[in-house]
Amino acid sequence: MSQSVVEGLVEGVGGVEARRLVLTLYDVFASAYRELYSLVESFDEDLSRGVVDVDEYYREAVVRNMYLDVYFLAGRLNEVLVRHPELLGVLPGVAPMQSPDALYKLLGVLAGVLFRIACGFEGPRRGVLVLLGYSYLGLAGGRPLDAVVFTLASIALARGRWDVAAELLRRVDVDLGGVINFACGAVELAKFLEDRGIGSIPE
Amino acid sequence: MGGYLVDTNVVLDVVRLVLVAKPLYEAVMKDLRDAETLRQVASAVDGINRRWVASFLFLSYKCTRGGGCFVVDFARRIA
Repeated sequence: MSQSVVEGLVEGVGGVEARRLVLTLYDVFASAYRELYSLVESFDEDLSRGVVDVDEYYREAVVRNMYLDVYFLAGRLNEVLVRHPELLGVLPGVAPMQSPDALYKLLGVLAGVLFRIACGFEGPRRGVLVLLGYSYLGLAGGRPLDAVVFTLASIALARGRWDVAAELLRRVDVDLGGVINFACGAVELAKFLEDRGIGSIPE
Repeated sequence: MGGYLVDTNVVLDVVRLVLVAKPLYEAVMKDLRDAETLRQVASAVDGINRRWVASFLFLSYKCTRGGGCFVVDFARRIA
Protein backbone atom coordinates (compact mmCIF):
# COMPACT_ATOMS: atom_id res chain seq x y z
CA MET A 1 0.00 0.00 0.00
CA SER A 2 1.24 3.47 -0.80
CA GLN A 3 3.61 4.41 1.98
CA SER A 4 3.06 8.11 1.46
CA VAL A 5 -0.70 7.76 1.81
CA VAL A 6 -0.36 5.75 4.99
CA GLU A 7 2.34 8.06 6.37
CA GLY A 8 -0.23 10.82 6.04
CA LEU A 9 -2.62 8.90 8.27
CA VAL A 10 -0.13 8.71 11.14
CA GLU A 11 1.21 12.22 10.66
CA GLY A 12 1.60 13.97 13.97
CA VAL A 13 1.58 10.79 16.03
CA GLY A 14 4.28 10.97 18.67
CA GLY A 15 6.57 7.97 18.94
CA VAL A 16 8.73 6.72 16.11
CA GLU A 17 7.83 3.14 16.93
CA ALA A 18 4.09 3.80 16.68
CA ARG A 19 4.48 5.12 13.16
CA ARG A 20 6.82 2.29 12.21
CA LEU A 21 4.38 -0.26 13.51
CA VAL A 22 1.57 1.09 11.35
CA LEU A 23 3.80 1.34 8.29
CA THR A 24 5.09 -2.20 8.83
CA LEU A 25 1.59 -3.60 8.84
CA TYR A 26 0.75 -1.73 5.67
CA ASP A 27 3.91 -3.13 4.13
CA VAL A 28 2.51 -6.55 4.96
CA PHE A 29 -0.91 -5.78 3.50
CA ALA A 30 0.69 -4.30 0.38
CA SER A 31 2.98 -7.26 -0.20
CA ALA A 32 0.11 -9.65 0.47
CA TYR A 33 -2.33 -8.02 -1.82
CA ARG A 34 -1.22 -5.71 -4.62
CA GLU A 35 -4.73 -4.84 -5.73
CA LEU A 36 -5.49 -3.23 -2.41
CA TYR A 37 -2.46 -1.05 -3.01
CA SER A 38 -3.82 0.10 -6.37
CA LEU A 39 -7.26 0.70 -4.86
CA VAL A 40 -5.81 3.01 -2.20
CA GLU A 41 -3.60 4.77 -4.74
CA SER A 42 -6.43 5.52 -7.14
CA PHE A 43 -8.76 6.49 -4.29
CA ASP A 44 -6.19 8.97 -2.99
CA GLU A 45 -5.63 10.37 -6.48
CA ASP A 46 -9.36 10.80 -7.05
CA LEU A 47 -9.67 12.50 -3.66
CA SER A 48 -6.97 14.99 -4.56
CA ARG A 49 -8.76 15.70 -7.84
CA GLY A 50 -12.08 15.99 -6.02
CA VAL A 51 -13.81 13.40 -8.19
CA VAL A 52 -14.47 10.42 -5.94
CA ASP A 53 -17.31 8.12 -6.92
CA VAL A 54 -18.25 6.52 -3.59
CA ASP A 55 -20.46 3.88 -5.23
CA GLU A 56 -17.63 2.77 -7.48
CA TYR A 57 -15.16 2.48 -4.61
CA TYR A 58 -17.62 0.61 -2.47
CA ARG A 59 -18.16 -1.86 -5.32
CA GLU A 60 -14.38 -2.25 -5.63
CA ALA A 61 -14.13 -2.85 -1.90
CA VAL A 62 -16.79 -5.55 -2.14
CA VAL A 63 -14.90 -7.23 -4.98
CA ARG A 64 -11.50 -7.03 -3.30
CA ASN A 65 -12.24 -7.73 0.34
CA MET A 66 -12.64 -11.45 -0.22
CA TYR A 67 -8.93 -11.77 -0.87
CA LEU A 68 -7.92 -10.37 2.52
CA ASP A 69 -7.35 -13.74 4.08
CA VAL A 70 -5.84 -13.66 7.55
CA TYR A 71 -3.98 -16.96 7.06
CA PHE A 72 -2.28 -15.48 4.03
CA LEU A 73 -1.50 -12.22 5.83
CA ALA A 74 0.06 -14.10 8.74
CA GLY A 75 2.38 -15.88 6.32
CA ARG A 76 3.33 -12.61 4.68
CA LEU A 77 4.03 -11.00 8.01
CA ASN A 78 6.49 -13.78 8.72
CA GLU A 79 8.25 -13.08 5.41
CA VAL A 80 8.50 -9.36 6.18
CA LEU A 81 9.95 -10.13 9.60
CA VAL A 82 12.57 -12.39 8.04
CA ARG A 83 13.56 -9.55 5.69
CA HIS A 84 13.48 -6.95 8.49
CA PRO A 85 14.55 -8.67 11.72
CA GLU A 86 14.90 -5.26 13.41
CA LEU A 87 11.12 -5.12 13.46
CA LEU A 88 11.01 -7.98 15.93
CA GLY A 89 11.71 -5.36 18.58
CA VAL A 90 8.56 -3.54 17.57
CA LEU A 91 6.43 -6.64 17.40
CA PRO A 92 7.45 -8.43 20.56
CA GLY A 93 5.90 -11.66 21.59
CA VAL A 94 4.00 -12.29 18.42
CA ALA A 95 6.74 -13.02 15.96
CA PRO A 96 7.58 -15.16 14.18
CA MET A 97 3.88 -15.65 13.72
CA GLN A 98 3.00 -19.14 12.71
CA SER A 99 -0.67 -18.92 13.42
CA PRO A 100 -3.47 -16.59 12.32
CA ASP A 101 -4.43 -16.43 15.98
CA ALA A 102 -1.26 -14.43 16.66
CA LEU A 103 -2.17 -12.03 13.85
CA TYR A 104 -5.66 -11.57 15.25
CA LYS A 105 -4.14 -10.69 18.59
CA LEU A 106 -1.66 -8.28 17.07
CA LEU A 107 -4.36 -6.52 15.05
CA GLY A 108 -6.60 -6.34 18.11
CA VAL A 109 -3.98 -4.81 20.35
CA LEU A 110 -2.90 -2.38 17.62
CA ALA A 111 -6.47 -1.20 17.26
CA GLY A 112 -6.48 -0.52 21.00
CA VAL A 113 -3.20 1.40 20.70
CA LEU A 114 -4.55 3.48 17.81
CA PHE A 115 -7.75 4.27 19.73
CA ARG A 116 -5.68 5.46 22.67
CA ILE A 117 -3.50 7.61 20.42
CA ALA A 118 -6.50 8.90 18.45
CA CYS A 119 -8.50 9.99 21.44
CA GLY A 120 -5.59 12.14 22.64
CA PHE A 121 -6.21 14.29 19.59
CA GLU A 122 -8.98 16.73 18.82
CA GLY A 123 -10.36 17.42 15.37
CA PRO A 124 -9.98 15.39 12.17
CA ARG A 125 -6.82 13.52 13.29
CA ARG A 126 -8.88 11.79 15.96
CA GLY A 127 -11.24 10.37 13.36
CA VAL A 128 -8.44 9.40 10.97
CA LEU A 129 -6.75 7.23 13.59
CA VAL A 130 -9.98 5.81 15.00
CA LEU A 131 -10.96 4.64 11.52
CA LEU A 132 -7.50 3.17 10.97
CA GLY A 133 -7.93 1.30 14.26
CA TYR A 134 -11.30 0.01 13.09
CA SER A 135 -9.71 -1.25 9.87
CA TYR A 136 -7.47 -3.46 12.04
CA LEU A 137 -10.43 -4.54 14.15
CA GLY A 138 -12.36 -5.41 11.00
CA LEU A 139 -9.58 -7.74 9.88
CA ALA A 140 -9.20 -9.22 13.35
CA GLY A 141 -12.94 -9.68 13.62
CA GLY A 142 -13.35 -11.42 10.29
CA ARG A 143 -14.99 -8.46 8.53
CA PRO A 144 -12.57 -7.73 5.66
CA LEU A 145 -15.08 -5.65 3.69
CA ASP A 146 -15.48 -3.32 6.64
CA ALA A 147 -11.68 -3.25 7.01
CA VAL A 148 -11.25 -2.03 3.42
CA VAL A 149 -14.06 0.53 3.78
CA PHE A 150 -12.62 1.85 7.07
CA THR A 151 -9.20 2.19 5.43
CA LEU A 152 -10.63 4.22 2.56
CA ALA A 153 -12.72 6.31 4.95
CA SER A 154 -9.63 7.01 7.05
CA ILE A 155 -7.80 8.28 3.97
CA ALA A 156 -10.80 10.41 2.98
CA LEU A 157 -10.85 11.98 6.43
CA ALA A 158 -7.10 12.61 6.31
CA ARG A 159 -7.75 14.52 3.08
CA GLY A 160 -10.44 16.59 4.76
CA ARG A 161 -13.36 14.78 3.10
CA TRP A 162 -15.70 14.01 6.02
CA ASP A 163 -18.55 13.72 3.51
CA VAL A 164 -16.83 10.97 1.50
CA ALA A 165 -15.78 9.10 4.66
CA ALA A 166 -19.33 9.27 6.06
CA GLU A 167 -20.86 8.16 2.77
CA LEU A 168 -18.51 5.17 2.49
CA LEU A 169 -19.27 4.09 6.05
CA ARG A 170 -22.99 4.36 5.44
CA ARG A 171 -22.56 1.57 2.88
CA VAL A 172 -21.59 -0.77 5.73
CA ASP A 173 -24.26 0.71 8.00
CA VAL A 174 -21.82 2.61 10.21
CA ASP A 175 -22.20 6.19 11.42
CA LEU A 176 -18.91 8.10 11.27
CA GLY A 177 -19.47 10.34 14.28
CA GLY A 178 -20.93 7.40 16.18
CA VAL A 179 -17.89 5.12 15.86
CA ILE A 180 -15.52 7.93 16.82
CA ASN A 181 -17.61 8.68 19.91
CA PHE A 182 -17.79 5.00 20.77
CA ALA A 183 -14.04 4.34 20.47
CA CYS A 184 -13.19 7.42 22.50
CA GLY A 185 -15.90 6.55 25.03
CA ALA A 186 -14.24 3.16 25.48
CA VAL A 187 -10.85 4.84 25.97
CA GLU A 188 -12.32 7.25 28.54
CA LEU A 189 -13.92 4.34 30.38
CA ALA A 190 -10.61 2.42 30.45
CA LYS A 191 -8.71 5.49 31.68
CA PHE A 192 -11.35 6.05 34.34
CA LEU A 193 -10.61 2.57 35.67
CA GLU A 194 -6.83 2.97 35.33
CA ASP A 195 -6.97 6.18 37.35
CA ARG A 196 -8.57 4.10 40.12
CA GLY A 197 -5.88 1.44 40.01
CA ILE A 198 -7.74 -1.04 37.80
CA GLY A 199 -5.45 -2.08 34.96
CA SER A 200 -7.25 -5.24 33.90
CA ILE A 201 -10.60 -6.98 34.26
CA PRO A 202 -10.44 -10.73 34.89
CA GLU A 203 -12.59 -12.96 32.71
CA MET B 1 -27.05 -1.64 33.60
CA GLY B 2 -30.69 -0.72 33.59
CA GLY B 3 -31.93 0.74 30.35
CA TYR B 4 -29.09 -0.70 28.29
CA LEU B 5 -30.05 -3.85 26.46
CA VAL B 6 -26.64 -5.40 26.34
CA ASP B 7 -24.81 -8.05 28.32
CA THR B 8 -22.49 -6.51 30.93
CA ASN B 9 -19.69 -8.80 29.82
CA VAL B 10 -19.82 -7.33 26.32
CA VAL B 11 -19.18 -3.87 27.78
CA LEU B 12 -16.38 -5.28 29.90
CA ASP B 13 -14.82 -6.88 26.80
CA VAL B 14 -14.75 -3.46 25.15
CA VAL B 15 -12.86 -2.03 28.11
CA ARG B 16 -10.59 -5.07 28.31
CA LEU B 17 -9.41 -4.48 24.76
CA VAL B 18 -8.42 -0.88 25.54
CA LEU B 19 -6.84 -1.80 28.88
CA VAL B 20 -4.72 -4.54 27.34
CA ALA B 21 -3.30 -2.10 24.79
CA LYS B 22 -1.73 0.13 27.45
CA PRO B 23 1.72 -1.56 27.65
CA LEU B 24 2.19 -1.48 23.87
CA TYR B 25 0.78 2.07 23.72
CA GLU B 26 3.33 3.27 26.27
CA ALA B 27 6.15 1.34 24.60
CA VAL B 28 5.52 2.75 21.15
CA MET B 29 4.82 6.29 22.31
CA LYS B 30 7.92 6.47 24.48
CA ASP B 31 10.05 4.31 22.14
CA LEU B 32 10.81 1.94 24.99
CA ARG B 33 12.65 -1.28 24.17
CA ASP B 34 13.93 -2.49 27.52
CA ALA B 35 13.44 -6.14 28.41
CA GLU B 36 10.81 -5.53 31.08
CA THR B 37 8.68 -3.38 28.76
CA LEU B 38 8.89 -5.95 25.99
CA ARG B 39 7.96 -8.72 28.42
CA GLN B 40 4.89 -6.77 29.54
CA VAL B 41 3.87 -6.07 25.95
CA ALA B 42 4.28 -9.70 24.94
CA SER B 43 2.26 -10.83 27.92
CA ALA B 44 -0.50 -8.31 27.16
CA VAL B 45 -0.73 -9.26 23.48
CA ASP B 46 -0.81 -12.92 24.35
CA GLY B 47 -3.67 -12.30 26.77
CA ILE B 48 -6.04 -10.96 24.14
CA ASN B 49 -9.18 -12.95 23.61
CA ARG B 50 -10.76 -12.82 20.16
CA ARG B 51 -14.13 -12.44 21.81
CA TRP B 52 -13.04 -8.97 22.98
CA VAL B 53 -12.57 -7.94 19.34
CA ALA B 54 -15.98 -9.34 18.43
CA SER B 55 -17.59 -7.54 21.38
CA PHE B 56 -15.95 -4.25 20.46
CA LEU B 57 -17.19 -4.47 16.89
CA PHE B 58 -20.64 -5.65 17.92
CA LEU B 59 -21.19 -2.90 20.45
CA SER B 60 -19.74 -0.10 18.36
CA TYR B 61 -22.04 -1.02 15.47
CA LYS B 62 -25.00 -1.39 17.82
CA CYS B 63 -24.29 1.96 19.44
CA THR B 64 -24.07 3.78 16.13
CA ARG B 65 -27.42 2.40 15.02
CA GLY B 66 -29.35 4.30 17.65
CA GLY B 67 -30.55 3.44 21.10
CA GLY B 68 -28.90 3.85 24.48
CA CYS B 69 -25.19 3.25 24.57
CA PHE B 70 -23.63 2.75 27.98
CA VAL B 71 -20.05 3.34 26.80
CA VAL B 72 -20.79 6.71 25.20
CA ASP B 73 -23.22 7.83 27.90
CA PHE B 74 -20.84 6.93 30.72
CA ALA B 75 -17.92 8.66 29.01
CA ARG B 76 -20.04 11.80 28.73
CA ARG B 77 -20.91 11.61 32.41
CA ILE B 78 -17.29 11.35 33.58
CA ALA B 79 -15.93 13.94 31.14
